[in-house]
Amino acid sequence: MTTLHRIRSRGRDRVLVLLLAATPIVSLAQQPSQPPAPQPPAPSKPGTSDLTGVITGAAAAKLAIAVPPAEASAGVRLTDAAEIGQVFRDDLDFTGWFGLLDPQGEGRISPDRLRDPAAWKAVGAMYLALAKLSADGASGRFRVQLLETTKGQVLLDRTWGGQLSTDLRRLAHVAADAVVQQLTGQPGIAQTRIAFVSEEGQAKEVFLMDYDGARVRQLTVTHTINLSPNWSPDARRLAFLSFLGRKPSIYLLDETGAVTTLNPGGGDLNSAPEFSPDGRRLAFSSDRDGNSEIYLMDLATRRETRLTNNPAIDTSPCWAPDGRQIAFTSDRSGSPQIYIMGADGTGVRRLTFEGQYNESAAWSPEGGRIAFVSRIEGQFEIVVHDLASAKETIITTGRGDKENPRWAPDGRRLVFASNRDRVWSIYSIRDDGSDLRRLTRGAPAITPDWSPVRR
Amino acid sequence: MRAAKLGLWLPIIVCSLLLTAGCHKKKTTFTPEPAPAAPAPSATAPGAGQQQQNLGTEGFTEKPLTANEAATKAGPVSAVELATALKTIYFAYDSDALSDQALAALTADAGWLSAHPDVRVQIEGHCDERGTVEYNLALGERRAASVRDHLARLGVAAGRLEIISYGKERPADPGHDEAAWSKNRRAEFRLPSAP
Repeated sequence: MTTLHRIRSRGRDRVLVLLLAATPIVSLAQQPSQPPAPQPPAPSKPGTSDLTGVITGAAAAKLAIAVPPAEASAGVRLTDAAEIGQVFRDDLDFTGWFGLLDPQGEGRISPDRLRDPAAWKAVGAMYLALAKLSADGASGRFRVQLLETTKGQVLLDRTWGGQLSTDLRRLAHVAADAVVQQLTGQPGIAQTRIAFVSEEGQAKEVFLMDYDGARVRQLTVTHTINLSPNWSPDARRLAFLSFLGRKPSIYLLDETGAVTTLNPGGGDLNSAPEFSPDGRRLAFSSDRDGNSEIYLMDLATRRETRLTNNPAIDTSPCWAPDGRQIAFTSDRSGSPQIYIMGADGTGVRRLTFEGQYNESAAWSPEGGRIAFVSRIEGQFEIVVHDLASAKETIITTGRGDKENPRWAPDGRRLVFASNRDRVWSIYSIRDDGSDLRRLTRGAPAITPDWSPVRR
Repeated sequence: MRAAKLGLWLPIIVCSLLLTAGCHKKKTTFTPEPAPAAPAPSATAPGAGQQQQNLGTEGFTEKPLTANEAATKAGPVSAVELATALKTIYFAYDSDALSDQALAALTADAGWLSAHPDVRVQIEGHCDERGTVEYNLALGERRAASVRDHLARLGVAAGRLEIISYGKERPADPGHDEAAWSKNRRAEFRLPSAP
């Protein structure tokens, strides 16, 4: 069951998703212009008395929402309306916040009343999301009206524009995030993306895909090995390791296509880059001083600071979301274990004691948990360590190894790589281990990183 | 054949070197994704209460960066000669310790290197697939360094020995059992790539 109390705002929680000047268009319905914002659901009352028994099991703890098929205006291809409606619906389902009712009204609503909130209230829906796609030449307009079903009050009525040929999925994602923001007060993650590495022949190149695994696109063609892409906090740059030069080192790729060689001062291996939460510094591992240590680079001045000093391997640095601490891996105890230190390298303490191989720490966005990889009975699994209670939960099961956990920006899901279906692929899972979804198929895919919400 | 190929790739190699030579924010072949054009206003007048917002660019063009791996420099010995002459060193799981067998192999390798003083080599450290990408990169580096340091102790000039780690990214055997893993936990000798 979802526990809402774990979710806290990251501070800047407005989702600014739209960059171009807004173009007003006609409103076809008489709707209030500024619908009142409802309160987010109360965390302590996951069950809702409104339900009539239609929603059962896990869905009973969620917000019951009806999303009937998207309406198509004249001139819109039915397949386009069906696609955008399905993506919008899938987005809401993916969040885990909602219990989605059968789009045809549980067999109890006549087709001509599928856009009637009262009809949906009768079958248990608390909310009704009405979607409509209209077209003007190649341009599409996607309108979503969100109503609560008790009084039929409109909570949200917005329209987004884009190109029918290319933007259907993005339009659906923007709308889904608006609904999530409206009903939960949390930024949605439907517009986030996942960077990862996939094999292209002998090479391993950096790729990008939407958070749901759709729209995979290749970012690098280097014919060599690239690994460990890491998003900047503004989701506009990626740091990654590449064998482009003579030695594996760290590069930055920004969204305009500019590539920067960070070329940290020497060494045979510079790896494991991770942006600080303020985006000003990069933590990384380097062997320049004889063995793998953790360093910080100030990205503006290129000044570097060494944080660890130990003959063991120190690697995989990972920032706390407040920027004050860094988790990392060290085998100074004789086996790789997770440690935490201050961002100045002081106050090192060991976090993990179970097992002989704990690596690849990822600090949750709200700061209370650290996910990592642990070898358990010969197999690598994803474990979530709760910092307050020190309780550790293994969230993955089944065959195959699981690696490289990284949090979604809302802290409700993680992405990781696994060979559970034989070929290494990217998977997404709820933080409690439920709702596992495979995101990539085909070529082997590893080292995913989930983008922050782009502001 | 190699020369012809090299000629063909030369402009790209130059680009690649520019990219990798520590230069700051080199322009690449990326072009910004054109922002989607705003849809034409509807024939009907804009109504109150509804605003259309258009999707902006989301960055990261799909036109990929192009570069090329560095060419292999011709040297006093061929890659095949080197691979035949120098023995691959194998390691235990999660270890960079040199076994007796490894020490014996390195003694032979050091002998060959002493007889070929003009040969520079790159020592590649590799790992088996068990464990994470980043930790295995560090472990592969430590294996390569362990071999380099021992050869240096045996009198090979450290300046002739480069190291590089491929972590678990270049297994010698693609299998998923101990037979494969034991072949993959290794340090191999290669000719260094061109500067």
